[in-house]
Amino acid sequence: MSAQRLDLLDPFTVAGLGGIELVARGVVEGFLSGLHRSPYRGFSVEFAEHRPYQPGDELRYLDWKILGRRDRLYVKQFEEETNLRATLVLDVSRSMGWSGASDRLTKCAYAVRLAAALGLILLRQRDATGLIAFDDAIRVTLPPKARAGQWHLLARTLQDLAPEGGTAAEGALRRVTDLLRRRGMVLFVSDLLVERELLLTALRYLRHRGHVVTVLHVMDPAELDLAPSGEARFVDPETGEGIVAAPRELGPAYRATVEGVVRAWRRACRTSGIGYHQVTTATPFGDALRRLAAGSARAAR
Amino acid sequence: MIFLQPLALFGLAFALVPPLLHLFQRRRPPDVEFPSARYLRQTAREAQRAIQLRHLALLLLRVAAIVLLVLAAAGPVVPARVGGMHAPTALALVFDHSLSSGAVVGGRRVVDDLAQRGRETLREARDADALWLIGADGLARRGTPREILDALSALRPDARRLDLVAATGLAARLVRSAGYAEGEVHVLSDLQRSAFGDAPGRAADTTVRGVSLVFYHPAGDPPPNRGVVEARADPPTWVLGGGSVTGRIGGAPAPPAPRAGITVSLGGREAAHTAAAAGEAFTVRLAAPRPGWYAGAVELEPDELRGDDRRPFAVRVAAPAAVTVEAGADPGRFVRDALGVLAGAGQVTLGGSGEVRLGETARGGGGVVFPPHDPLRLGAANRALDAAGAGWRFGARVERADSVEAPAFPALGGARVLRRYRLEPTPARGRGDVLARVGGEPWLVRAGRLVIVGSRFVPEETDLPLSAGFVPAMATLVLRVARGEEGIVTAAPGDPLTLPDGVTGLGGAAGSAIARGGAQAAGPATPGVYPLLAGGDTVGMLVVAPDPRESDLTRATAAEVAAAFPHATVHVVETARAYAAVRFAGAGRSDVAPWLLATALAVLVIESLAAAGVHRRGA
Repeated sequence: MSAQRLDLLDPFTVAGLGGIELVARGVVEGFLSGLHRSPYRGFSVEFAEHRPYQPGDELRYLDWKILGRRDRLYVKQFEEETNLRATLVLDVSRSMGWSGASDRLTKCAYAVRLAAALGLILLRQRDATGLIAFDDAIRVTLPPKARAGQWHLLARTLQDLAPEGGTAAEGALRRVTDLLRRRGMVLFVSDLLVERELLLTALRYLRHRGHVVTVLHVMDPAELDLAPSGEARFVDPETGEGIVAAPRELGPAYRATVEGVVRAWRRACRTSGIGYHQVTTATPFGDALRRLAAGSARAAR
Repeated sequence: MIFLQPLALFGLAFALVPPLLHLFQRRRPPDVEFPSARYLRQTAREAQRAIQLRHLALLLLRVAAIVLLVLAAAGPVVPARVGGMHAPTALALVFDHSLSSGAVVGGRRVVDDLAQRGRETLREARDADALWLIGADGLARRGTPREILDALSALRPDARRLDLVAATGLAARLVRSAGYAEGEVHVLSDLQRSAFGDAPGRAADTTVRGVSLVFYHPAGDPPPNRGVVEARADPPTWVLGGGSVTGRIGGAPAPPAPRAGITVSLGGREAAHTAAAAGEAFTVRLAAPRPGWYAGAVELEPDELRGDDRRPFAVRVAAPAAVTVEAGADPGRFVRDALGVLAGAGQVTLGGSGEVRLGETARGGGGVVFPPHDPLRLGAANRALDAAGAGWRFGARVERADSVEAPAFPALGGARVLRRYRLEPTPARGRGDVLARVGGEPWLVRAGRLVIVGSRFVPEETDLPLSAGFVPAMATLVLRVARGEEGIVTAAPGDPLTLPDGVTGLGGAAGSAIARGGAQAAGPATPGVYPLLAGGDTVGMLVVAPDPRESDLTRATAAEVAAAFPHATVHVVETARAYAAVRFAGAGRSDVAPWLLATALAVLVIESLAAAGVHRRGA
C-alpha cells in the first residue's frame, strides 16, 4: 500500500484495498508525504524543530543565531497550537447511496472515506473532531474530541453508516445547528439534493455563529453527464417521482442545467462566506483533500 | 396531375407507417433510479417544446419522403412543362436527308442544321421514351436515345427522295401503336413542296389522328437552284453516224442567271457543251463511238445544291442489224416500208442471211414471229414455235380494241390493238419476258432471241403502223429486242427494281448487292450507270438518276403542310427555339417523377442529418 500514493489512485480501487481505517490511513499518508508543507503544520508560537532553509521560505522564520554560530541557513518550525473544533456533517440520505456505474463508489461510500481521511488529518493535529450524520433526521452524533481513541470511534461510526432516508432535512438541519453551538469548523459533505434555500439558511446561520463552514458537493459523474441511451423513466430515489426522458436528446441541455446548479451553489456559498468544493466520486481522494486544504489555508489567512 | 400507374397510389398507405410506429412504440419505458431527476425534470421542462417540434419535423419528413416516393412510382404527369422533363413519349423522328438537304444555305448545309435539331431532341429524350428514326430510305429504326443518336450521326445527304407524307404516315402509325399516352412525330426537313406529293390530304386517314406533328425547317428562303432533271440518249441505240443527247434543266426557285453552261460527256470524255436556262430542254448531237455500251453524263455549273447538277445517261452504240423477211410471209406493207426507211438511214441492212429474221414461222436462230396472215396456217405456226422451243403459242383470236401497255418498250405504249391472237404459254415453257400486254394479256413476248407478237403490224389489227412512233418501234424491235438486249433501264436511287429475266447481275460497285433478274430488290442508292449482265455479257444498262422533283426546292407553306394532314395537330417551326418549345410538349404535360425522386432524396438526406443531429446532441 505504501508503494503507491493511495491518495492519487482511483477511489474505487483504493476502497477495495481494505476497511475505512486502512484506506483513510493510506490516503492520509500519501497526502501528507506529497505536501511540501503541511497545511496544518504552520509557523505558530510553539517551536517544534529546525530544518534547512529552502528557497521560498519566509525569511522571518530564519534562525539568525544558527546562522551567526554556524554560518548555515535554518528555519524554525512551530507546532501549531490549536483548539479547533471540527465537525464533519455527513449527508447519508438515500440519494447518497447511488452510483452511476458498477466500478464507481456510491456517493455515500466516497463521502465516508473522505470524511475518515479528513478526521484522521484533523485528529493528528490534535483538533477535536466530531461527526454528525443525517438524512431526514439526525442519524449519528459524535461530539468533537481530540482524545486518542476518537479516530477509531469515528472510523467505526462512519463504517456503520448506510444511506437510508430522505433529505427533507429541515428538522435535521435545525438540529445540526442546535448541536454546533461552539465555534469551530464545519465540513458539510452532501450531494446537495436538498432544498437549496433551506440548506443555505442553515449554513448561513452556522456562519453567522462564527463557524468556518465548507461545503463539499459530491456528485457521481453520471449526474454531470447523462449517458446517451434510449428513453427511460428516471425516478428520484428519495421522492419516488419519475420523469420520462431520452438522454440522447436531453444530454446537452441537462449538462447545462447541472452546470447552472453548480454555479448557483458556488455563487451562493461565496456570497455567504462559505467554502464550496465540488467533487465527483471519480475524483482521487488526494485531490479532494488538497482542494479542502487550499480552501482552509485561504480561510485561515 | 395525372398518374400513368395509378395503382401505385395504394402505396400511399405506407405513409401511415411512421405515425403508427410513433404511436404504437410509445410503450412504458423502463424505470431507472436517478437521484438528480429533479435536474432532469427542470431540463425537460425547458427543452420540451423544442424536442416536440424536432420530433414532429422528423415525423413529417419521413411521411413526406414516403409520399414523394409513392407519387414518383405512380408516374405523375402535370399539365405543364417542368424543368425540361416530359412525360414518357413515343417519338418518331423523320429525318429528311434526301438529295435536296445537301443544299447550302448561309454557308451551312441544310442537312447539318437538321441533324443539329435532331441531336438536341435526342439529348432531351430519355430511356422511358419510345424512339424511332426514319431516314430517306423510308425504313424505321427503333432504339434508345443513344442508339438513335448514333444512327442519326451516321446519316449523310442521300440521293434518294423522301416522300414526307408516306414517311409521316408510317411514323404516326408507329407512334400510335406504341401505346403511349403521348405521341409525337418530328419531321426535320427542308419541306420541299414536291415532297408532299401532288395531292394534299392524301394522308387524310386516321393514321395521324391525335398525333402531334412537328415540322421543322431551317429559317430563311430556300436557295435558288437548277439541276439536270432529264438526260437521255436519243435514240437509245445509235447506229453508224451517231445520235443525240437530250436533256432538260429544271429547278426552283429560279436562279438569277438565266442560263447555265452544260457539259455532256460520254465514255468519260467531254463530248459537247451547250447552255440552257431552268425549264429549258436542250439537245446536242454526238458522233457515235465504236459499238458498245457507254455511260455518259450531263453536268451543270455548280450551284448551292450540287447533288442535282450532274445526271447520268447511257447509250448503246450498235452496228446495223441485218434483217431478212421470211419467204412467203406477209408482214404487211408498213413493216416493209419501215425497214426500208431504217435501211435508208443505215440502221439496218436488208437481205442475205440476216441476224434478225421477220416471219410467220419460228426458226431456231431467233427473229420476230408475227401471226400468220392466213388463219389456216396458225397450226403450222404453233408447231414451228413448239419446235423452236419458244414456250409460247398463238391461242384464240380476240377481236376487241385495247391499248398496248409496254413499260419496258415505251415505243409501243399507247398504240391500239383491234385484233390479236392470245399468246399462251405452253406447259413446258421456260422463262420469258412479257414486253407488252394488251387487255392485261401478253401481246409481245421474248423467249431467248425469239420475239413473238400477237398481232400483225397492219392497220386492220393495230393502229401502230399509222403512228409516228412506228419506225422507232421497229428500230427498237430489230436493233435491240430481237438481238436479245435489254436496253436501258432507268430508276431512281434506292427504288424497288425488277430486272429483266435474262439479267444475272449488275456490274459496277452495286453488282453484288442486286438480285438476279426477275426478282425485286432495292436498286442502287448512288446515282450512276450500272451494266446489266447476263453471264459475262452486257445486255443493257441501268441508269440510276435522282428524282427530278428533288431539284425543286420550293418550300411548302404551313397551310399546305397542315392541309396534307387534316386530322393531326400540326406545328411548323423554323427556329431552334420554337422547335425546342414544342418538342415533347405532347399535351403540354411533363413527367415530374424525377423531380419527386430528387425531392424525396433531399428529404431523406435532411431527415438523416436531423436524426443524426439529435443523436449527436445526445452523445
